[in-house]
Amino acid sequence: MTRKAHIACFVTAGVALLATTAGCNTESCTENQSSIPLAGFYGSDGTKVSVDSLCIRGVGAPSDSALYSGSALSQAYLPLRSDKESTSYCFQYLQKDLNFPQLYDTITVRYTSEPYFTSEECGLSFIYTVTDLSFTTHLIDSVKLLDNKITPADVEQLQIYFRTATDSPETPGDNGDNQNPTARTRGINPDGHENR
Amino acid sequence: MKTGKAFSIIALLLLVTTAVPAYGQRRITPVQPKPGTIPTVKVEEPAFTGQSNLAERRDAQGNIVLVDTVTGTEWVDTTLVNRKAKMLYPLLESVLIGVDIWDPAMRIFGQHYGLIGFWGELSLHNRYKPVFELGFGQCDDTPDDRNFTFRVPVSPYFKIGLNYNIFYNNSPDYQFNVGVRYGFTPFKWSVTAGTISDGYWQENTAASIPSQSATAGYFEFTAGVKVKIWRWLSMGWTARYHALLHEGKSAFGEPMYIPGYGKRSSHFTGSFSIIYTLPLNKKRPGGVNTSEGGADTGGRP
Repeated sequence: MTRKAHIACFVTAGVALLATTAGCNTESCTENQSSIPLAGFYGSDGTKVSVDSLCIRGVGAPSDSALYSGSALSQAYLPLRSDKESTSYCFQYLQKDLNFPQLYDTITVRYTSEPYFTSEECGLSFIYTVTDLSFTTHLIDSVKLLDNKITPADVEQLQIYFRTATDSPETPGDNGDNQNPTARTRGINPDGHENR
Repeated sequence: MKTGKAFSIIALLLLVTTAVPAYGQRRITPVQPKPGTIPTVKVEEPAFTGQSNLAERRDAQGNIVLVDTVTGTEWVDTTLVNRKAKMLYPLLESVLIGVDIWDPAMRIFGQHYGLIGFWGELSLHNRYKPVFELGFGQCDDTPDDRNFTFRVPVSPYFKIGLNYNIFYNNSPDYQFNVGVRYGFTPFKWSVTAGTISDGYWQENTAASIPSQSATAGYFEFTAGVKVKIWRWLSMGWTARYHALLHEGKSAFGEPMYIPGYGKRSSHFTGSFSIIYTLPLNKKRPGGVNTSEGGADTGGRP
């Protein structure tokens, strides 16, 4: 093999090497770019439910904007305030017989925060450590915290149990009974689809 | 009387019949040839008389020797002799010293990490090449559309491994090497100028991660070419595939850059070296020769 052939192979190998290393890489961010707690909704009997006409607002949010407005929800992301030590959310039930402010529920989360570097693609975020969880119990029966570490991982960390009544048949005592209100819900099959 | 005469006549006849032939033989007088004029006479080897006349025996080296029982000819059965290619180059063939300028070159193209590396290699028989690398890495990178700056101060890395020259019996001027490495680096990393935004609450919070001490170990598979440019000067490309073996854990996450390794998310990288060759042995090998277990091949198969 002549010297020119050797040098030609040498240059070709270099170009191939450059092309290979330049073309490889750049994954996309597969996790949440922020640590946002995911809350799932359950009935009193522990089955996963979808709550009708539910509006969720952050207490002190700019322009009192709603995070979720009047939709049927089976779960909700509840972002925490990064420059505060607590965040509160108001659950408003817009169903005809439950749309009274005195029936609205509030959930308050207290926490500490630390910066966390997820990856080059996902960037910088906070990790929250929940120190206290409080809530009202008008239509909320209980709230369960599965993990006090809130990370960018997209997993359910809060379970909110509502006082529920099945959609049909409706019982007369459940409609408009403010002393023992229940949220109108639909049960959800284990595969996530609503029972109709 | 008559009998006596007969015997006399017979004896005389016998005497005549023996004396005449003896008298007719040629007398050969040896002739002394002149010096240098001795004629060479080719003695043709007897022809191979057939497979059925072959016998086998083993010589002192353990080779099978075939014997023609008719002509007495012997030869080694070369088909059964292990042919070992002799390594043409001496044990201590040369020392190579290289400077890896891949990272400095890539910085020209916009890379914001990496520094420089140095390596030394000992060529054994131009075939086995233990290698040691020492380099420095550094990072000061704000990725596009990202809310942070990632920093690693100048930190060392070390690699140890072995190269294997595929063309070990060819000229050392042109080589194709494959190899493995183990790398280790102690370093520090930090994240500064970070901003975390929240879409719903419309809050921008400044965040940073203070300097974190870390270690990492990784392995590499390499494949590269080396070409002589001029006398003792050579250049070489190497493609590297690597993966992390172990690293220290931090409560603040995982560093995106590791000295000697590169970006965590990439398994491929390369190197480009300027190489100085220091010959240790000036003997140059002769033609290609194969030794067949030390046996004398002798005659034909």
